[in-house]
Amino acid sequence: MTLTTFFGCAFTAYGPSLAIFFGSIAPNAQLVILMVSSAFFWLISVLLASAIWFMASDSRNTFPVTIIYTVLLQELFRYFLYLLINRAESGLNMVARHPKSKFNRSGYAFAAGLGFGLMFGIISYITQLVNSLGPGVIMCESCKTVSLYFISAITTSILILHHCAWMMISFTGFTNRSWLRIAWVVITHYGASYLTILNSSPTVNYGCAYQIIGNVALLIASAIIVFADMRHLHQKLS
Amino acid sequence: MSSPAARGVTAPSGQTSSSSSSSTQPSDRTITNTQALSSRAGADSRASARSQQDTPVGIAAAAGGGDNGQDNDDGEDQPCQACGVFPARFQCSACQSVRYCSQECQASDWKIHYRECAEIVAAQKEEQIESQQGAGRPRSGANGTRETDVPGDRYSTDMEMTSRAAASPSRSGAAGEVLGDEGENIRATANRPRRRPREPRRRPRLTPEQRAAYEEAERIADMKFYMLQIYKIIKPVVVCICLSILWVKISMAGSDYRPTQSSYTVYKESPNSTASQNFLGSLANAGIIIGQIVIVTIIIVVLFKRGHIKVLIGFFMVVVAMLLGFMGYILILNLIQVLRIPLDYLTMVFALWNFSVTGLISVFWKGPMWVQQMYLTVMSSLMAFSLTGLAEWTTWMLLALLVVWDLIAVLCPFGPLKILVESSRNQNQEVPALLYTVNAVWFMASPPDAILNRETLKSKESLDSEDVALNNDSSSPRTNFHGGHSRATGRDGGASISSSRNSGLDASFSAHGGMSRTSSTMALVPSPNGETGDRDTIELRERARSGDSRNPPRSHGEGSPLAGRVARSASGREGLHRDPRRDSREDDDEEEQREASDEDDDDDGGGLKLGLGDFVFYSVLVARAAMFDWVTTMCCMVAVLTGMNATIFLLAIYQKALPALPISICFGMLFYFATRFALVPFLAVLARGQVFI
Repeated sequence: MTLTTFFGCAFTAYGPSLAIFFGSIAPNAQLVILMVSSAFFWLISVLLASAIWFMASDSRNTFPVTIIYTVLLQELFRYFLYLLINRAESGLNMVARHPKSKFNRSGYAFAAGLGFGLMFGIISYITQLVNSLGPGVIMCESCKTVSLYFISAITTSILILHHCAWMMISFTGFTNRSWLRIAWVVITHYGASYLTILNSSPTVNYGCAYQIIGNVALLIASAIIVFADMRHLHQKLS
Repeated sequence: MSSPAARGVTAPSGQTSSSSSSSTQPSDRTITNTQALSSRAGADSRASARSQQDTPVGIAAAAGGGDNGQDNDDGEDQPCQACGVFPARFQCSACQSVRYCSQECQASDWKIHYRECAEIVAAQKEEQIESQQGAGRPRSGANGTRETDVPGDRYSTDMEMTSRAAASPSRSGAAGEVLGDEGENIRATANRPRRRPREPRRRPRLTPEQRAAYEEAERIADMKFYMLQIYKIIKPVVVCICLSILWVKISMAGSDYRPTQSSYTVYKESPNSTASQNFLGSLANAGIIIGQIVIVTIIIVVLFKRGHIKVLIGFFMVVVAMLLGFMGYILILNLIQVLRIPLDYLTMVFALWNFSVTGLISVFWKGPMWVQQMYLTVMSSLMAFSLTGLAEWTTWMLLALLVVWDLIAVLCPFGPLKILVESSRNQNQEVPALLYTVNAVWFMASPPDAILNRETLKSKESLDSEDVALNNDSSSPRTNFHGGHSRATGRDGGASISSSRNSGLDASFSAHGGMSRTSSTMALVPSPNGETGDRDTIELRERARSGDSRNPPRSHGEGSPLAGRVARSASGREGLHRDPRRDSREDDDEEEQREASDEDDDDDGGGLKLGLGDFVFYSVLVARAAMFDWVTTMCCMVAVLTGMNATIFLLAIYQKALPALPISICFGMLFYFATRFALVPFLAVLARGQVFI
């Protein structure tokens, strides 16, 4: 049973993103390197966040406070990553498959987003995943009938995809100085994070369901923005 | 000179048409050039009658010569081939295809030019014979005939080209798109690998803008090359790290056969000793191990400098055999115990024996490339596994000291590894070492004479162009350049395409005179690890190896830097061009045959080589993290990979010897401790609340 849980959770959490990775990123050397770099950036941001958490010994267990600086740091490093890619873009374009393509930047943004997302997914879920092999099962706090591992797997999966979308939106935002997009990214990031507090809420019944529905809705909204941007880019080209 | 000409005449014309039609290159240029060539051919019997010489042929004044009228249509805008200055009044008297501003320039360019000069003259001779035989043939016939001079080879080249185009249609066009108009020029020349040397206008003429464009193209190609190298090296590193993690996890799942602490270590860590005791004790332990590494490295350097290559090879063979045998044995015991596999000793010994002997053979002699790569990866992970027996403090201390030692050994003026690299360059010998090359596993060491003979042989058989110079003494840079270059061209279609193209580019660099790139950049890292007696010398290097050539070019890195450059870029391109093919599994018969023959006469591609020591210590770091926690493991893995990428990027920038360990290990250690003491508890709290950040 535990082994089945393990594989089920693993594929739920990482299946979609790994499929994207092997389908679209892995064959392209450039994007793979970009992905590793962005994973590194995310890691730095979360390490800084954990350092702050380590020092702020008073608020260690108050999640709303933790989320504030963690998300802020991630967005900050997203911006740094943008600066880096922006600076390296001419070089990246030179070695790209289609040096003149206007979609290159979106490609970089997507790869960087997947790097962020996969790293996020691995760091925040892998311990639970390994624990799911263990002797027992923990049930979710707000939905007593579903195991914690499975809810976390679904959340991880959605949030990884979120990261891809956020990265693409924010790159467009940074490039066009469109504050609306940047604000959207920051706000939805906070929204997604705060929604996950519902998972362990003892008062809200079926909190995990609300959390998943909310996150999926946010993801759909973000995806619509991404598609609109891409369509806009495409029309501008032709 | 005679063989290509003869073949050109006797070649069946059916093949001619098929080969020329199968190629999709822009051929307009070819035809026009051919016409110019053929019209010039008659006038040149005097020049073509001269055999190839080692000394530069004289310069003939270009302006005003009666039969140079055809040349002048493209001649006035042709700058000096060597320095790019414009009034280039003189031209090479033998081939009349290149121009110079002065005799000095010609002399300096002769190193590059003599080869194409010979080829052009040969082509002209052919044309002459051709025009005598088939007098009434139309002009386009000349084009066709000229193409048949090396029919088989040409055919395979064309196959290669089309398949390459199919694999990545935009690849050859990438540079061209950036370059715009000049790009066309490059591409046109680049797409005609073999033909090109025979043309009078072999190298594109260089206006300053064009030169800038070429430098740009070169830079792009370089970047692409390094990018692909990173891409290809990431995979085995990740596999090796994952294997080490796997071994550690298995052995930690309650096995009695964990690798034990070495008996060399004087201090035993215990949970209740203080931090300072631990610190000093582990420093002593790590110091002992590092001392062994240093001593072994110095011994290797001394042996190498003295030329005792066979001793070194024997030594490495023993090391590999012991590693595969003993560590394989311990690992199998672990597996058997943890997974509860019923297995009798006889079967196990039999399997182990086969395993190690196959490994020895494939690493030291020959074997399919994937087997070699697999063995090297497994060996590294075994080595890392054996090192996980070290106590925790000792491991970290050892890694920290290794970083320091690595920096010293590679970068200091008298660092042993630097000396090793330099003496290998001077002695024209490969350092015997265990390397993971991107394209092939390469273990080699043979005395210089054998190398050169083989080189000669190979370049002779791989390239139809005869070469008197090669049979002469091979000490002159020119000869070596020739060897290297012909090797590069003869190697395979991809290589020849790019190498011919890049010799043009590189020539422009040399004309510039400014750039002093070393032909080969390498970094050596020692990994000899005293403890289990393993001593892989390790290198991360970008290698100036064209085709194979135990570096005629490299050996003359100083003497004729051009040679190295050409070779380097050739190998670079080769790596570049081979990948898409490999990846897309597009091996039609021709290719397979050709590759087989390539690999026969020595597999290898140029490109990045990562020493097994780097594999080992990356894996040791991550394996040590794996003994703690999964999050830490993943963090360290990403940190190590990023550090490796950064190192390779630095390699691309500095083009010189760089140690591969410091950045990765520093990142890894930093991330290990940061993760262990801050991130893991942080995540534990978050996970308890199921909060995602």
